[in-house]
Amino acid sequence: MSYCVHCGVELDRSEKRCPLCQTEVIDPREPFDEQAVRPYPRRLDPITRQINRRFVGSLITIVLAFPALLCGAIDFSQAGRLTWSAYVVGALVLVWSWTVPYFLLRRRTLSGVFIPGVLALLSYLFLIAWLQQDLSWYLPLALPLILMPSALIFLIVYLVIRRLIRGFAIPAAILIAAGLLIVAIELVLKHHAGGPVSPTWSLYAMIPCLALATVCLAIARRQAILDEIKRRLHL
Amino acid sequence: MTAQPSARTWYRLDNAAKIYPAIMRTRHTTVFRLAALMRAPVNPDQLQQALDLTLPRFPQFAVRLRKGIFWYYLETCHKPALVEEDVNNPLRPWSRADARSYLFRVRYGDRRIAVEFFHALTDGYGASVFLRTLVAAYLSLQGVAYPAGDGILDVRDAPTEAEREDAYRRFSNFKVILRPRESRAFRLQGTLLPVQQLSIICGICPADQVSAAARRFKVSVTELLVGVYLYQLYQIQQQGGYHTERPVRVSVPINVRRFYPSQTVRNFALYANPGIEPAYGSYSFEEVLGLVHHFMRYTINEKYLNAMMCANVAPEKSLLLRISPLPIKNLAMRLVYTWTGESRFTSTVSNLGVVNLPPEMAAHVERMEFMLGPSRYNPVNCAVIAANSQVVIQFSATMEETDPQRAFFRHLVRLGIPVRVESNRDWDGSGGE
Repeated sequence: MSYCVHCGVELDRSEKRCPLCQTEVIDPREPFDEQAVRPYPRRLDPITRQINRRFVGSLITIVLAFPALLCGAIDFSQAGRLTWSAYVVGALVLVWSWTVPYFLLRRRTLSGVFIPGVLALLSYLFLIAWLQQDLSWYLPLALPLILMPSALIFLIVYLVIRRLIRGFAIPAAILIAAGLLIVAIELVLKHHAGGPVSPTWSLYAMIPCLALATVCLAIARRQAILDEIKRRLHL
Repeated sequence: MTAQPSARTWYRLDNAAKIYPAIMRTRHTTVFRLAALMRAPVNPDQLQQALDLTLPRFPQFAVRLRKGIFWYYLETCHKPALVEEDVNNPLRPWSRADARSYLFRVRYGDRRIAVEFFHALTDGYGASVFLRTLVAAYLSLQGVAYPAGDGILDVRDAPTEAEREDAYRRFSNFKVILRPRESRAFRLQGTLLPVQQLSIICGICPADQVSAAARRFKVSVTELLVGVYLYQLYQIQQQGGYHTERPVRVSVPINVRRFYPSQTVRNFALYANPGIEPAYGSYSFEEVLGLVHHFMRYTINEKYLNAMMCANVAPEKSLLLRISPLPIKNLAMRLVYTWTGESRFTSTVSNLGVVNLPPEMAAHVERMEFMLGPSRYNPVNCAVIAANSQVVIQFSATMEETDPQRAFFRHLVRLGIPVRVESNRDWDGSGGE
């Protein structure tokens, strides 16, 4: 039996080094035996780090439900029906619908997380319009101004997740989307105001966006420029 | 002939068990392990047969964890319990998939029979009864006479209600509720091992020499080991560049069965946290040992422990807490554990004491081993068990550095106690497979 010269403890034959101080065992009479049976097997049990998403989802639900119930109860006790608290409750439901599906869904897909959030936002705006008894701005303004950016964001994120665009093509896509969105916003606003539906000021924003997007696309196609940028600007 | 299965289909968690499902994490598994190192290689088929014989005798262990609206509960599980091969990194946490099955694992190595228990099911004593009964059943299949009694249950007997009672509720008298106020303790720091690695260092000492050393200082074996560990942790704090004077405390689980006539094999343990205050001045080993000795004698008596037990049981009786939904309870328990649990001590020394093995079994069992699972904040834990004239001290750690283990065993050697060391740490060289 070998002893650690530093620790004074007796070591198992299978120990090449003292497990306490890492001093190598040098015993000419009883050298380290690689074939000796180790006291513990070598097979590792696979352990995956677990994050209790359900717990986080439940926690957010509780945190949001508490002020919602409290406001609802106070409002109801004073007015006999829901008045101002409907805005608070609606806003909290909106926050819930953007956060909790991410934690509760077993299989998190882009559409599973994004679409309920957009629908919740549209519903909340509808709630505001309905509570104010003025639906005139909802259909011509709120609906297109929410749906258009949402559709573009969904499309870009989808393309990125699917790796259909990558590298400098991503800022190019974002710039193209932003340029088109600005023009679309102007057209929607002009249509609502009742004037001629043609782009004017938005062109000044769209042209630089498209120009920058072209630069990005050009860079994306030139590996040498990409390498140079990475070399100079790496963080 | 096996015992008749119980008609009960679900159990409440006992008082101590309620916290474990709430605080379980990947790095805080709340799992512990007991093992018997046999003299001959283990036959897995016979071990499986022995488990099939043993489990009906312990219906309170043949359960899985379920969530109710207000509390977790244990539901009888009818799946077959299968033995598994031993691994280098035992004490894997219970994943969601695992939770659909039993809350214990039976593993076999070359010569080792090990059981890993989720702490919600039982404590060290209950696990030792299960392991000894399992080993007795295993040996009886090999023709060894079955030695029932003295912590070994007869698998032919029917399970009793007394074995599965919640002893905390039965014995708390609610005369006084005592919650010791403790400040945050010194915390060891080091390089965290990857999540799939667990550093195990096991020291084996002759029981008579450990007892002789304890007698020399006029303390018990637990007090001696806790004193040595506490002193070395204190030395590490002073010399390890920590720049903190936080108290160094060690949590020592206490088996309360010796004070109460309970036959339960579920949880029935409490804790004492002896410690020192480095801010008061420097301590010698003898002083630390004296503090531990007197603290343990002051704490470990029926009245003090009952007052502590009542503090644990009291919240369970609160109507407000009982009607709170489980997610709120879980959140509250995690917060309470963070503020008053693991942060109040530096490490744990759990001494299961002498585990009696009848001569029929002792001839076939070389030694017993006891290991604690990793904790979230305290990277090193120590578990002690004595059987067959050998004291086995097993450190399980999630920290790469081995300073506490090295200092502890060197101190034992300096006290004249020979130590033989084994470990699973072979990832430095060849690595686990």
